[in-house]
Amino acid sequence: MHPIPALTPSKIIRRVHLYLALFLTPWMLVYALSGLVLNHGPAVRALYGAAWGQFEKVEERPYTAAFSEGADNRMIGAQILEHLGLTGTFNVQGALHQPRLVITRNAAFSAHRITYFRTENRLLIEKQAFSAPVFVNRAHFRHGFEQPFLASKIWAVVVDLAVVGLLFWVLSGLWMWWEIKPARLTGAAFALAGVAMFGGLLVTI
Amino acid sequence: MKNWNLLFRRTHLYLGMVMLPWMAMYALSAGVFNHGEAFGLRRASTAPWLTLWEKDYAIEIPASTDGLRDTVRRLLTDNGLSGPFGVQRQGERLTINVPHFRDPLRLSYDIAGKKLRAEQRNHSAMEILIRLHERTGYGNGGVLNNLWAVIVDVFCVSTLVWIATGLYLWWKLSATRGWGGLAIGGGIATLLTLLATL
Repeated sequence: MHPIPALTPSKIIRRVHLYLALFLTPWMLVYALSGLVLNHGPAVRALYGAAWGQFEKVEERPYTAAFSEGADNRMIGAQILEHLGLTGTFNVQGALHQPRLVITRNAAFSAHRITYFRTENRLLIEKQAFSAPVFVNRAHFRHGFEQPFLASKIWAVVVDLAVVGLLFWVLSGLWMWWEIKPARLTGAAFALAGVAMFGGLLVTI
Repeated sequence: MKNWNLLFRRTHLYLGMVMLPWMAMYALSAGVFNHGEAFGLRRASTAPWLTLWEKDYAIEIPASTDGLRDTVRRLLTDNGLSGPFGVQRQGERLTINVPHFRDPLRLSYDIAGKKLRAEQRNHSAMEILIRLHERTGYGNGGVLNNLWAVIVDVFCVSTLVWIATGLYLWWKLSATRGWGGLAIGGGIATLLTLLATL
């Protein structure tokens, strides 16, 4: 029979470091790839050409709806999306009494843009074609608890977990570095180089 | 085999050590983005612009946007400034924003009156964090701005290396395979479920 290994603080820190990282691996992958896309925006755009992020017309249809006097833009946007079977996270552009309201429905793999021409009682529905860089960027920019949808709120909780994870990896990484005596000197040199670079750039650019 | 293990361990560790400030910065700023309402991210800053200096300065501004950036670059050089900038023309006024992590500068040039004014305002730590998080890309002018872009690349590649070496090191710890498999499986399942339902 194997003896049960003792659960020391060091071991707990190591295990939390590991399991947190394993759970967050898909998110970190998305953030890393999206970071590369953002850092090389012009090159990626050139690679995809004119099709990059373009919306294509899906259909145009009449839309006659009566909204109550107090209906705000988000309420109108939610109702239109529900009628189109596109319920989910969205943003609305356009002031309350403007003749045109633009609703952007941000799903994970695609985005729809619905333009509601109030005075003409008409909807223009457009869809953005899927592309990997746009997909990772949309996932990267998704955050916050404002959207009233469960999936969106859970996503925001995971973003918080990623924040906690990063901070924990910083602190537990320091702990683990200090425990590895042969790595102390080289590790300190790397840490000092990082801090010096960061500090130098923070004050100069 | 032992050497590979050590190489992966040390790579994982030293990349982490050098990237510590960036990890902390991206974590804290992501927290600000995720709780934008609480941090007042949607509200415009109310801090007043403070005039640093104002002087007479003459330069020929092109009527159209053609050549405007070149002219503004010359204006900045004439006044001892360099680096990336954004310019906006509103009638007889040019507004030039010179980004800086801590102290961004706003220049206003009165084209008719030939007067140039430089202003700054106090910025919170939160605004600085956001600027650090959002700064990406090459070609912003200056070696140091490009160095920042290189570091952003290094950070992204480091993240991919942490993932790869982390998976390797996890697999080598046979005692953690079960719980680790559950953690990574749970992460993938959570992500896929969210992507399908968002």
